[in-house]
Formats: sequence, structure tokens, C-alpha cells
Amino acid sequence: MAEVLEVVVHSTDQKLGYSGVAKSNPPIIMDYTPPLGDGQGYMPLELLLMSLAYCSGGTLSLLLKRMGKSVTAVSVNAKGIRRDHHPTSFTKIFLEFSLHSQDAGNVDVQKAIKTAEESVCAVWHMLKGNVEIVTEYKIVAS
Amino acid sequence: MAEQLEEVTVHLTNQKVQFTGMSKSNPDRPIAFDYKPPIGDGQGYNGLELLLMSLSGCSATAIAFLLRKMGKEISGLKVSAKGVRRDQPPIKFEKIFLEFIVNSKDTKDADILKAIQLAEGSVCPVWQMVKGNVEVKAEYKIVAS
Repeated sequence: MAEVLEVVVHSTDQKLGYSGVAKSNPPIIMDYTPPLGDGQGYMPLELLLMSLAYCSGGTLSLLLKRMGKSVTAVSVNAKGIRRDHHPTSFTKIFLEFSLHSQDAGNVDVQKAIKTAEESVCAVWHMLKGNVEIVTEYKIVAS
Repeated sequence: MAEQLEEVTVHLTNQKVQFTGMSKSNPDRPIAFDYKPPIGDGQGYNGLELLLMSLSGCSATAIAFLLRKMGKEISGLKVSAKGVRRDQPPIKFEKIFLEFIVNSKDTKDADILKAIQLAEGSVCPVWQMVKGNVEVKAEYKIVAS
């Protein structure tokens, strides 16, 4: 059965300030850079990067744990290179995973990244074909 | 061609799948992410909700900007976004419904239809990036106020 997710976003000023919320989470404040906005919040493109960073990082840690590996810390740094005229979409996104694990090897991490990309990470799927996504990783033994 | 770089970081904050994310320009506004039980504890946004939020914010920004450029007065704008998720891999939204509620005394149907078309066609970058992978349906309502 399909599941429906819902968010509501409403304007908060006479420029481009918005506040958005889903479920009972604290609201997320959005804005655009001056002069169009006041720069007091996240740009929607930053939220897209964050959505991909969380989706891929969470999937990666979950897949590695399912493979019996210990994962004590994960951080994902996501960078998006934006075109400077319309559409100002990302041409390339760099995802850099930093994993703390005593027993995960290169093969495990590469396999998990491949599985995340191919079937498990939903956000990745929705960007496919439209943005080039480049991944790098680092395993920290700890 | 000059290019701009946006950068964000997320890091794991528990032994399940809760993460905290922030961007360089918003270090004081952390966002909590989590997945529903039993995988996570449901204490935060999930990745797909944030994708919906990103698309809503982007399309709302584009439409308000375009209508104002057309000389229309916009006193408020609200977007409700619903995403219908597949439950079989690949898990993704099959369809997204965007409903724009525009508060305006002088915006007509033709104006908003044009603004939605431009947002979809070129002005909203998030919309461009999901094109072909998800069906996005837009509806609107104009409230004279």
C-alpha cells in the first residue's frame, strides 16, 4: 500500500520568507538571499541537499549494520554546484561520507553505496538522470 | 560561467538513524532527521518530507517572485504538498500534489497559470531536478484578500 507524506509551507513576510512543517516536527524557516529575500533561513536548494545527505547517510549506516558491521558515527558532507542562470539547478552534487567503524572495509562500503543508489535511497532515485551525483567515502577505524 | 556552491552537513546523533543537519549559512538552525520505528524513533523529519519541503519552498518562492514581477500584489502564499510513496523498491514518490493558496486582490487565473508554468519550466530548480522521475501535479486557489 502506498503511503502519503505531507508538508505545509506558508509565507511569513512580504518578501520570500516561508515556514514549513511536517507532522509534529519543529518548523523549518526558509528564505532567499538578499535583495529578493533577507537571507534568514534555509534556501530550498539547501534543503534538497540535506534531504539527499540524510537519505543516503541513513541508508548507508543501516545497510552496513545489516551486513553485521559496526557503525559508531557517520557524517555526510554534501556540496551542490549550481548553474548561475535559470534553471539554477545543481549540475553536480558531491556526497562525502565519513564512517567510523572498526570492521567495515572498502568492499562493504562500496556495496552499501551502490545499493543505496540503486534501490534503497528514495531521494537519490528522484534526482537520477537530472543531476550527476559523485560519491566519496572515508572509513575511520574507531 | 560563474557557478555557486551550496553546502550542507549531516551527522549521526544516536545508535539508530537519527541525524542532525545544518548548512554553512544556517549554523544556528539545526534540523533533526529520523526514520519511523522500528528503524528509527520518529524524532525528526524523514528525507522524503524534506524533499517535499524543498520543492514546496522552491515553487512558492518562484511563484511569489513571478507574480510580483507581473505587478501583482501577493499578501500571502501557502503550499500544501502531498507525496505518494511507493512501498516497493525503488522507494520513491510516484506522484506529488502541490496546492498553492494565493492571497491576492488582483491575481487572475491566467496569471497564476502562467507563473506555475514558468516555475515548472525553468524558474524553480528543485522542480527541474525531479523532472521525469516523479509526476508533479499543481493546483491553486486564489483568495481575494
